[in-house]
Amino acid sequence: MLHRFDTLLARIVILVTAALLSTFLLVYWIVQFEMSSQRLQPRTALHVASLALEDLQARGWPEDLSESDMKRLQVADYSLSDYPYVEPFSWALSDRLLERLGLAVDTPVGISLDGLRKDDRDELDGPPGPRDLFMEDGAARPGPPDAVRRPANRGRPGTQQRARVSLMIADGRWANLRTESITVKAPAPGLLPVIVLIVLMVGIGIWAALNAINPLRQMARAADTLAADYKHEPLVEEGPHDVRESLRAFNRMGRRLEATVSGQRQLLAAIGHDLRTPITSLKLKVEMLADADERARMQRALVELERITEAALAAATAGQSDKPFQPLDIYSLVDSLAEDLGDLGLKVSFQDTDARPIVMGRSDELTRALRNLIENAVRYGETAEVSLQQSGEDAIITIRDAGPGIPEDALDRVFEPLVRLEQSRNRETGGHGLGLHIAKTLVEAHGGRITLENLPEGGLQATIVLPLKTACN
Amino acid sequence: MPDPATTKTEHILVIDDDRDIREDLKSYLSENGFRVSTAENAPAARRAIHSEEPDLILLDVMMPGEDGISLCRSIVRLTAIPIVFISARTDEIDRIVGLEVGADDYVCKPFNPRELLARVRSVLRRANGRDREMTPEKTRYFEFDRWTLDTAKRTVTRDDGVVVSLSTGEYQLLMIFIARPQIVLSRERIVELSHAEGADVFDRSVDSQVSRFRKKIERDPRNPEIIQTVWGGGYVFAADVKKL
Repeated sequence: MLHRFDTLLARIVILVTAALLSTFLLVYWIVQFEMSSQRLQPRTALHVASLALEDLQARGWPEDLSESDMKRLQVADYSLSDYPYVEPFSWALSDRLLERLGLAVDTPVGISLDGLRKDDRDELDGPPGPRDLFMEDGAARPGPPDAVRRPANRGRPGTQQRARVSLMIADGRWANLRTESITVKAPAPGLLPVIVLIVLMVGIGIWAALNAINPLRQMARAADTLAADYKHEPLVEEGPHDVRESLRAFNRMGRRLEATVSGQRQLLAAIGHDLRTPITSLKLKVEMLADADERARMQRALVELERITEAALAAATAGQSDKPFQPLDIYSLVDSLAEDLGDLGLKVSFQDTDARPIVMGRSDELTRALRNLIENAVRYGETAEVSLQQSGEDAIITIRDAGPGIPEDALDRVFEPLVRLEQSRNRETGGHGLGLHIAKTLVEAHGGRITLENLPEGGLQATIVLPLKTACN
Repeated sequence: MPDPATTKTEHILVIDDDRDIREDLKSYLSENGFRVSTAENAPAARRAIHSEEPDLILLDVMMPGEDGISLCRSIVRLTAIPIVFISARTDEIDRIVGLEVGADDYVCKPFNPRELLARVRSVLRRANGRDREMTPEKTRYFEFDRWTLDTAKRTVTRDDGVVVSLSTGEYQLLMIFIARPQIVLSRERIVELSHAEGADVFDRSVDSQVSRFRKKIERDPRNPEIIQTVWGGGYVFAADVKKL
């Protein structure tokens, strides 16, 4: 039953729900924050009043305030009296104020806020308006506190505000306070929650997408490499139930494919291996033939047979070696091979260079790959000009011939096993269609790549790019 | 044709489980002046060695029952008969193991019959002590300057682990020099020694061979420390050689 929730579908549902819920909570929080910020937010008149009252409370409600204190506390008017200047009225703001001063909730307190838009600012310093509860002599204007019921403004940023507070203090007297005209500032942290929200949502989005897609991407990568070398590294079977099932199926497929391919390789290798003994036997028999012409003909046929056998064997085992990689001096490898092939009568030239690139690899395999390319060049293009250079993180070996090249559309195809182009399919040239395939397999087993191109000035050029030792680490 | 220096007909024992190979080798070697007997497995081979005392053994590595490696080990312990391995495997490991258990040479199937003949004669010559100077070093590793030569793998490794490849000619040149450190060798002598070791490829001038070799192993090829030119014509391998 549990695995019903352990699916990609369930995860997406949970994620989407979680994302929507967290968005809702964040928005709710932001709204709450904005609302509260209107009230006791610094830089509103009531806030200034509450600070002043705190200060006065701490000093035990003095009879008078000095000029400097008034200025510091932004208070325009302060006095103690036996009656309140502002009619006490219990509402949300009065509760907050009492809470702030640490007084009982039922302490009588009157609050009046008034404010004027910027345009009317001049009136602020002019004669008291009709809604002003304060008389010039300090006496309270009779009547209900209209201003309390209909505050002139809600403290929007940019407006002017004054607060009047009358608070009953311990001995039954009232402290009356009027603040200076305060310019309400925009609440500072307005942008932060929005940024947090955006970052959080984008983060959750990315994480959710990656989480859902990762196993699929892993599988795609594995499918790619599986196609390239048939070596199957099993995928880690993780993720939700349905994804795990897919990975398991993929791993089963990989194992079967690997078994099939390696079975065929082994078959090919076994055939190649077992042919060596009868070929040896034939060679000995041919060597004892009396007729010199016939002997030469049969020897040629045997050489061809041996070459095909060895190529098949090499193709079957290419890239399968478990010998460790060693740092190799590629210059010496190319130079030695060119010299040895030259001694065998091939027209090979190696352009000397000061580059001494070091590549991690198996020298016998790289030698074989290069040898196949050079032999190919000489077979179809008479001569092979080999060069070596070091470029960035790579060692680059090029082999160019003086032949006719090959059609552009065949440049990739010739690396497939047993592909021979029409023009070369005569036995005299002696290609067996495995040389380039083996070379490619071996070079790729070294993390390198191999390409063919027709040169504009004529001739075919093979390029081998191998990562330098430092790039491997 | 028999080796002109041979006074008696030399006796070769062919040990191989494949009947065709046994018979073909017997005919071919007989035709080339050897006396040949055959054995198809290890017990038969032991009997033949005991009764016929062959001069050389051609031994197949892979045989049912006791294999060639194990048989070789016991033959080497009991007798001084030179052994040439024949194997259908070209693995480096196989060759190294073969030489390590005491075989004198190693040929891979499908070998060229004439090459086999040349190897057999060369091993017999050495065994008879007629080519004293050519007596091969049974040492596998040599150390000189900052290099290690592995004669089984035919590679040279620098002290930082980098493997440097040598051409056949360069390897032969190094083998000539390494057997004769601190000895001045004239160009003629080097050519002579290389021919004696069966190196047909050593046609190019010694000078160009040495200069190629220097490019690979000298710190500064223009100012060589390992193979130095001697005034008056010749070279000397100036580095100390240590056998490992």
